[in-house]
Amino acid sequence: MPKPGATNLNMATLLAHGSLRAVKQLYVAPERAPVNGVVLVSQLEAIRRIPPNTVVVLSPDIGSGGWKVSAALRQAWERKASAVIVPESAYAASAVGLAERLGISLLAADTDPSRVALALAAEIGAMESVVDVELAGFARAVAGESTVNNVLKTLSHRLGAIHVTLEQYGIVLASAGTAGGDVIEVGIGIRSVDPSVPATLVARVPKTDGHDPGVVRMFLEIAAPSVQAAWMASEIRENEASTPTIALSEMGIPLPVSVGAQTPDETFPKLLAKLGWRDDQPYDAVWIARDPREPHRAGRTAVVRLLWRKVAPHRPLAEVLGGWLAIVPCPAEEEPSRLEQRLRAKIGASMTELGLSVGLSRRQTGARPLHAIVQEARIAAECARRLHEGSVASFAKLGIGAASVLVDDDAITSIARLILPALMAAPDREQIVRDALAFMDHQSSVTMAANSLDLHRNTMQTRLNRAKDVGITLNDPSQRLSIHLILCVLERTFLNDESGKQLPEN
Amino acid sequence: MSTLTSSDVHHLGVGANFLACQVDPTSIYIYEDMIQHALTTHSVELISVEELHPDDLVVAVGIVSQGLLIADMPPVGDEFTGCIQAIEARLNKKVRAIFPLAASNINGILPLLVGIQAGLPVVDSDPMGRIFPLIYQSTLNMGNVGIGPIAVRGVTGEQALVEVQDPYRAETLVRALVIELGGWAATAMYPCTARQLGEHGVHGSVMRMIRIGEILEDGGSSESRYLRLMDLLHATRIARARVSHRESFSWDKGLGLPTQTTSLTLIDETTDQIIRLEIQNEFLLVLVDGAVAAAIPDIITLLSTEHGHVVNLDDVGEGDVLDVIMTPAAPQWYSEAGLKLAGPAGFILPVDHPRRHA
Repeated sequence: MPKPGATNLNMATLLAHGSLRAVKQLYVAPERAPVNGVVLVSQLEAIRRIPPNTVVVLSPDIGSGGWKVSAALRQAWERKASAVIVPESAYAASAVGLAERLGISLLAADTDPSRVALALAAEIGAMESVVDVELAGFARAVAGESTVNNVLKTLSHRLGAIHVTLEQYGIVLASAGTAGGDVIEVGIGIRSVDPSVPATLVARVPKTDGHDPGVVRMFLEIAAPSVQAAWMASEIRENEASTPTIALSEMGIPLPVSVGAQTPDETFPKLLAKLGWRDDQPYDAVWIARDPREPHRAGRTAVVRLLWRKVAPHRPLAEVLGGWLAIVPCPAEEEPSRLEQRLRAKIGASMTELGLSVGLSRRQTGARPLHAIVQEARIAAECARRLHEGSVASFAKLGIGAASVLVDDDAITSIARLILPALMAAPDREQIVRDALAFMDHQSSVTMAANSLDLHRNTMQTRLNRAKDVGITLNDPSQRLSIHLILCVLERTFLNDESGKQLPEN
Repeated sequence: MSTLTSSDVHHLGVGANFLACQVDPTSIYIYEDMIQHALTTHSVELISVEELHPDDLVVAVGIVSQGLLIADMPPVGDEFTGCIQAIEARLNKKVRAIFPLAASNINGILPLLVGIQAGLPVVDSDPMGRIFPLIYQSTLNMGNVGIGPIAVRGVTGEQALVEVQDPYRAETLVRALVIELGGWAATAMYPCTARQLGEHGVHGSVMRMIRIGEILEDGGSSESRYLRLMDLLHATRIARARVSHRESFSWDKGLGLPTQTTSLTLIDETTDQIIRLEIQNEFLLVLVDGAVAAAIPDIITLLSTEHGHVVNLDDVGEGDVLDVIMTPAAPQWYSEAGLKLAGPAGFILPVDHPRRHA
């Protein structure tokens, strides 16, 4: 695939095989300067108006004085010209030295320079026609793609596999190509599904590859309408495809808490099968929860869906009350932890930036447990939000611990302030809580608790005595559950509060 | 009014050379020698233009050359007095004072001898403030002061009075006469009143040459002389560079100018910049890495970094390390009309003056 360039011509090519192969090379700059045009100048001031990457051919009139060649070289260098061609007899040794100092190629034509200019112009013209054809072909190619990822892949491929991305809020929504090291960023704004928050189409052009950023921008502009169209179309498809998932929500999921309430499969025994849910298929549910304190923002769904494609490109993500829900059919042989790993790797960081949390259910087979796995995913997402905003939590790992995560932390902390004032005032309260929790977590075994904290048994015992001194009762079965709950909440609160001293007030 | 001393004359010669930076200063030495001899029995007065009556007739005296040096065809002695008498006879009015046609080179010093010969004071003013190769390149021309009638006289005693008012036509006619008169000729031109010279001339230019000479001939260190010169002339050093090579093929002869041309290339060994000087009678351009750093009417001088004296073009050798000094010309020359007349455009150079907006 040729490198992008208005003509794809450069000095090295022209000197080796092109219309400049017969000129005398007084100095050739090491850089492969691109060539987009040629100008025959008879007045020095004309050089000030040339565009970059132009070959400047000096007429015999202007080449009559060596100083004019020097001045022409300087002005050509200031205009980022590709090369200066002088009549064979006009150059001087000092001009060659100046060309070398400025790093601009200096060539001498032994024939009429205008002939060289004409030959070069013809070659550039022919190449420009090729470029026009290439651009038209590229426009057709991207117009034929129906997904954002495929449009970006086509764009990246055409630009020599450079890294191209679709970004919003600084988050990469989709990408293609290989990220390089030292790059120039070329970006254009495009209208997103949420018009109030424009997205950006970015190409990262390696500095060493000789890409012309202006040409890269041209390709981005050609690709932009296709990116927008594919994005919009994917939204429509996603909405259609997410109907069965939304239906689960419409059928009463999440379930009411009351014991004995009917599950959807009991209420609608045949509807789930008609919606496409299969009894022999293992499913995972993924719930992406937004902070309920944050107002709902139009267009956020489109962004989340583009990110979701990195995890499960063919599974719809439905917008439901409180967040987004996906039911992911999984191959029976796939490890249940694979989906969690993908979630963390592909979208974990982006979710954190967006202030969203992800919950993953345990894997269940068939349509009947769908309501359950949706509940699990929702609970896991809520736990993830409480544990650390933006994190990914798995219900399988949370297990029954989810109950302690979902308790009202503020209420529990208030109780602790009232019942255990000595603990709450203690400067070493974090250590006390950690020690007491270790004791309770290890079946009230001082030895095991000491081992878990890498302490001597006697030290552990001393610390437990300290816990008792501040009011923590560790040997009363009637208080054990409450004490454990308070300790869990306090530890979590300490972790969430970096200082560990700014506990929530009543 | 001041009576010039032998020392003043010597310093004037040095200063005239500084501002001329010509190929060969021999002509200056010849005239300085003649003036020094004359001063043993005569004196010459330097006056300011204000010391004259506004209606007094003054005239510029100077040599117009077509490449021939004075040393090759020495003057007989009556060339300039003949020219002044011709002007007086034509205008039927006595010339009360003379002034130099240019404030450097041989024309900067020879009015002293003419003043001694004619018994006239020399006005400390001139119509160029430096030297230009063409007689119409003057501030008097910019001020619409007539160049004619012009008296031209050669060493053979042949003389012509050119009745001309168009200064460009005058250049052509006088240059043609000079060729016929042997290669150089004495001239008296720009006959005008003291008021006109006061309004349109460049003043203090003779004393400036003397001051330059005093500094250059001072026994102090070259660095202290250099600093005093920069202070006196508001000059700047464009580069301190080593001569790389010389060329002499750069110019076409579109203006029919008198002498051969040359180019100098120097390398600044500190910055690696390539300094290129373009010369045709005068230094016309200084390019640093191809960019115009100075251009006529700026006065360019080459100074020896070792001794602090002027280095004439004939003495420049490859490997020499020189200071390239730029001295601003008289302010009139940086006006739009001034640059058109004697800036790069006046020499058909397709570049803008770097200080064209000054």
